[in-house]
Amino acid sequence: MTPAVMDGLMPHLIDWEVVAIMAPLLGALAGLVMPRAAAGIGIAAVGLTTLAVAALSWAVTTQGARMMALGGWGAPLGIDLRADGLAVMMLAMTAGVGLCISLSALAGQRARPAAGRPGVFWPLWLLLLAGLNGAYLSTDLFNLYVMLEVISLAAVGLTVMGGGAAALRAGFEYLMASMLGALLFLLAVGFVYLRFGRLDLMGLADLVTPGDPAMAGVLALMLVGLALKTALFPLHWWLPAAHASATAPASALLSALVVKVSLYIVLRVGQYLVPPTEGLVLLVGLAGGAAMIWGGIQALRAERLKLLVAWSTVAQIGLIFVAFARSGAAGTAESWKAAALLMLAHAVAKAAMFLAAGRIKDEVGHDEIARLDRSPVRPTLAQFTFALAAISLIGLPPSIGFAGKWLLMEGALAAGYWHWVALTFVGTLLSVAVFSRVMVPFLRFDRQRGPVGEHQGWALADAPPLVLALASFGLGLGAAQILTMLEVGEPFARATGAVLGGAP
Amino acid sequence: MTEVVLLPVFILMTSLGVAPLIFALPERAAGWRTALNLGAAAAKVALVGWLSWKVARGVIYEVRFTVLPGLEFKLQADPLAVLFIALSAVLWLITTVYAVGYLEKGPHRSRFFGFFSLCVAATTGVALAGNLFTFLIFYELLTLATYPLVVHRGTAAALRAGRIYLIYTLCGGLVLLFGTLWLWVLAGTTDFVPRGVLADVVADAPVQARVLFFVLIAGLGVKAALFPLHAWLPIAMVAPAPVSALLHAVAVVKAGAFGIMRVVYEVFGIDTAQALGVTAPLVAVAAVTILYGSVRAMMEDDLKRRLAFSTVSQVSYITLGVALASPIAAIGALAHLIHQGLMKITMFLAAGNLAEGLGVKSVSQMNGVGRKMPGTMVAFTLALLAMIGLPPLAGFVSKWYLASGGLAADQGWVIALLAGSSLLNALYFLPIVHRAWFGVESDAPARVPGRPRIGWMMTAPPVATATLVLVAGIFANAPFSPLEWTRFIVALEYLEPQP
Amino acid sequence: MSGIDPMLPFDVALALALVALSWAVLAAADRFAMVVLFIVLGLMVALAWVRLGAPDVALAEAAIGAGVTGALLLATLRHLRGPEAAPAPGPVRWSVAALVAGVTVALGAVVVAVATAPRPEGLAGPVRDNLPASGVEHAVTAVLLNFRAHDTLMEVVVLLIAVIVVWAVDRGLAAAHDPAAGPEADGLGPVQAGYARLALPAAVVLGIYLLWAGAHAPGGAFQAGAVLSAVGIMAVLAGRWRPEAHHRAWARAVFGLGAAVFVLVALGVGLGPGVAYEYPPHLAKPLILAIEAAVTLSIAATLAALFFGREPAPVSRSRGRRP
Repeated sequence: MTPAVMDGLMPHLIDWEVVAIMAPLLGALAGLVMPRAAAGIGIAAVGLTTLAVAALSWAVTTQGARMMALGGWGAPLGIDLRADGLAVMMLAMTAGVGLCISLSALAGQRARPAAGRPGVFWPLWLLLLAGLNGAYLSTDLFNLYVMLEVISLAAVGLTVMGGGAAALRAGFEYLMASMLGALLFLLAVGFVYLRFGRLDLMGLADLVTPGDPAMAGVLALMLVGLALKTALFPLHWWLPAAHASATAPASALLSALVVKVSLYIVLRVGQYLVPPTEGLVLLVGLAGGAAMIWGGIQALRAERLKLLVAWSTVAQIGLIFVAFARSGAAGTAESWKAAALLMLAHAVAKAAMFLAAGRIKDEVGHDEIARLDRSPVRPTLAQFTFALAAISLIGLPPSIGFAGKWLLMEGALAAGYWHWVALTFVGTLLSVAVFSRVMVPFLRFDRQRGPVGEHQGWALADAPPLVLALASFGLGLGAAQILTMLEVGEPFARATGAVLGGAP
Repeated sequence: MTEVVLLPVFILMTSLGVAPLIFALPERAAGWRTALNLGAAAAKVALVGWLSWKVARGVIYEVRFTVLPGLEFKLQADPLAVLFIALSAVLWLITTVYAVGYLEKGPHRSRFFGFFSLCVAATTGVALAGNLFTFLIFYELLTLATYPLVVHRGTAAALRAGRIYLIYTLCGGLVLLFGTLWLWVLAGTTDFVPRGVLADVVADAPVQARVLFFVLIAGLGVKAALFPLHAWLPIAMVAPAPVSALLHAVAVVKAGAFGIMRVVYEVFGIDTAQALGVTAPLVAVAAVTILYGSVRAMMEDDLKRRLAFSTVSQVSYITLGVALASPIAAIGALAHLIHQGLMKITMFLAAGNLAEGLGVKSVSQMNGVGRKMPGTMVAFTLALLAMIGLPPLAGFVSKWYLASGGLAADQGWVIALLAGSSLLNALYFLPIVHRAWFGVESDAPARVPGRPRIGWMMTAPPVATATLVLVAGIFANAPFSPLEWTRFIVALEYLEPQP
Repeated sequence: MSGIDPMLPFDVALALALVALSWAVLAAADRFAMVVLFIVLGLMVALAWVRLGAPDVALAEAAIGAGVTGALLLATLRHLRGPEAAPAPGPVRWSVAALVAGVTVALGAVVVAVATAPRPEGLAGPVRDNLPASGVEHAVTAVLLNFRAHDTLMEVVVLLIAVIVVWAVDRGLAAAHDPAAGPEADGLGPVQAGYARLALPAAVVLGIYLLWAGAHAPGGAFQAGAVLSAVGIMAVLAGRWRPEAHHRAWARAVFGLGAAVFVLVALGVGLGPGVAYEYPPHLAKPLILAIEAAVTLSIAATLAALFFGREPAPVSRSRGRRP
């Protein structure tokens, strides 16, 4: 065991890590064999996974980070699973958001069994969940690659599941981008193996020396691969169509959860493999800033609600990268927390927003923004949810999106990087413009024929997105606790040490 | 003496907690909704009464928890907070009664009253905020909660006005957010502390501190309608009457003015601000706004627009009193926070009655309305005269203190400014009085057909607030009068804090 | 190892080919060309892995990267015929340019740096040392099914997802036309049919042998599955067997069998004193063989289904019906 691993291999009664990966996997297999019972099995599997993640989170927050060696071999021969604060936050985010999306999908499938396609949706989503959990717990580069494959393929399946040639075409583009990204990542992994002879992140962390030109190249390869998968500007072209043409629960899963895993791997790579350099951090931040602006402009031009929401994902991913870059290379030891908080914020709010947009589309019958105010049907609860989610995505207090933006700007100001603050404000103004385009017609009543009732279009399916939207505010008020939890296991202790010891 | 008790939370919850219930009520359940609204408003008045009683005895309530590392969400019931919260509680109760009458049978009442409650919750939060960070949270909530009220009618015109309102206030909010952030990075605290927290920072970085001051004032000045950031206020007049009343008297413009008070007194500290030399420009801006608002008001025929420009002018009295940096002017400013609220709400409620009952929307249509709506118009007239500054009404009291404060601060021109402003007030208000009572109508049906009858729920509120205008003026020196309370506050801000 | 690696020119060429192919994939005007290029790219990456000294990874990559995704892309492509895609919009061209520039620089730097640096021993040592405890004699099998069984399980899952997706695609488009060159075409001449009849039993035997041999020689579940899938494909091509709607339930069960057995074994051994995937030494060999057998069946069925390319649906009744 390397010295970097401070937490010991303690025996646990139940390995919740394994349950978190295997429960959805078994659920998917059961759902595959019994398509008629897929929904019930799916909810049960997601519920069990959520319980496992809750137990794991509890164990980690009370007893510290934990590690287990699959097969008892231990790195570098075998594969270790590690749960530290960052991993637990991502797992909890996935479980919580995933559970709400599952319930929403269930309600939607009850109402429209044909469109929901439970026999396809549940196995794919459960396999996706297994892949996500596996990636967050992984400490091994090749294992991360395999998880990425699982995730992207399942995500492509969820994209094309909506049916129609548009969804298929979008899925095709997505598949190309995703697979190419995976290949680039895999190549980088191969070079790491060739150079160091091992694939476990913690072992590699001890071998890598700052300023190694080979590692700079490897990092660039990985970053391009991951940027393709997470749709960082200018490699984002596939995202809007893919996220906009899927069914609402699938869009929510794709936008809220799937893009996060590549961001997470970027953080891990920055943590273990290569201490980021000033130039690279600047580049990443600039790409993020461009994404914010370009995504915002495109969202302003979008004619359909779901496309607008999808473009806002491009902008929000940019914001997360800006958060990572907010105070330069030396600041990444703290900046990653801002990025992590913004990931959480985006996951919760964007899931709520996509589900709400789906509900609006279901009730109104279309999602053309220009004609929304002509409808006499106003799904008020879904509209309210949309507005709450928008508040969090814009970053108004006291939402979790605000907490993330505050951290971003606080760090940037303290380090004297005023340009990131200015960029963030520009992005914020753009997102205000984007979302008010949608929300203003909610309150317009002089273009529809016939009276408008107050509580029309309320359904049980409105509850999960509303819960998510409200959670953005609960989490915002508890941001300090989340930040404390993130530090369990000192995810970035090494980065700090490297900066203090190495860089001039 | 500081006590950690949940009383401020309860006060906040009387409106914040009630809002979701109102949203969830079906449209038909008018009885339940009214009961809930009035019950909550009455409960709030009672709780605020209790709170003021305790605070007058030197108790300061505090509730806090950490939101971000080092940053706290903090509610604090100090005397300044109680001043504002008492105003909002009393006027909320009165406006709610009015709104129930006003919106009878109107559409979207659940939504209206839900956001109405949220709006009052935001105002309460602004009042109770114990640091600029918490203030910012409620300041933004106020923007978001009032927007649906402003565009309540849902017409294209309402939405256009709403968009302008939103652009101004959200940008103001972002500027304030930036200022708050900068303050936090510079000073490491955003707490409101009597006599300020910035003395050390000012010594180290006076230039940054000066810029920070104007950033914060700009963020707050949008809502306080300081020239040249005032343009949204007259446009927002498309809102229903109870909303306009609340906007002008309690919620939005007052939140801005109250914020300016907090920043000058409890972030910078009046002495520090004066030493920095930032109060003089603020005085100048306030003076320009006072004159500009009055001149524009004279030129408007539309009644609500005239009242709106009058608000632009009158609210800047508060800023003026704060920026003059003399304790006596400060008393005037704080008293005017209350007095202007009482006067302006009376006018807007009365204007709402005229528009609803008679279809009268501009000054030129007001001939003889006094005889048709005597109760409403007596209240209106009383408020007008008070606004002009006629003794012994409330407006006179605040103007008197402001003028004396100007003298005490060796700024004699303030008297000229106030006299000029009063003259302008008279010029644009007295024609209304004249037309209402002595104007002769060309053709006058007793009631305009097709117009609803104005019930007691709409007549009683302006009468009640006009009575308060009278009482606040006549009994200005009684205990628990607004004036007495402001003396109590000013003693805290200008003298050494009591141990 | 000192001095310049004699293989350096080959490595550089390989790296440049990878870049060129990535660019070609993104820039290809025709979608079919895109897919073919992608398959070639997958094979090239597999080659790169061999050069990097990791043949096990190379095998998996060749199977997944080139085979499965290629099949998947082709299956998707079939439905995209008709309105050809508009030329790539501006942003796409930028991103392609950015991507190619970034990858070229990175690859160049990496190849030069890695090729001139000393090579570490890698995991060969630890694998050799732990081989006796793994239950199998061949290193690659030990890595795939014991040391890194977690990875292998997930690769099996990738295949499973691939077949779910392919089935989902077809069912999603009620109006999709039949596979153009699909196996339903009864264009096989008598020679091929006769060949199939002779070859089928031989292929079955070969597949089973590969599976068994995997324990001590190169080979194993992926290869055996590939061979066995050829059996199914030939059976279909020769018209000896035709997928029907009522086969779907069985097919799903077989698709999931490998992953299911794998998971159950992994979890089952974790219930004892060990953790998940920790086979008791005396049971390691039979357990691994059981997993391999199940996985082989699943892989065979999956690859055959991917080749067939769509979910068998009743011909007479509307294909729009959903389970």
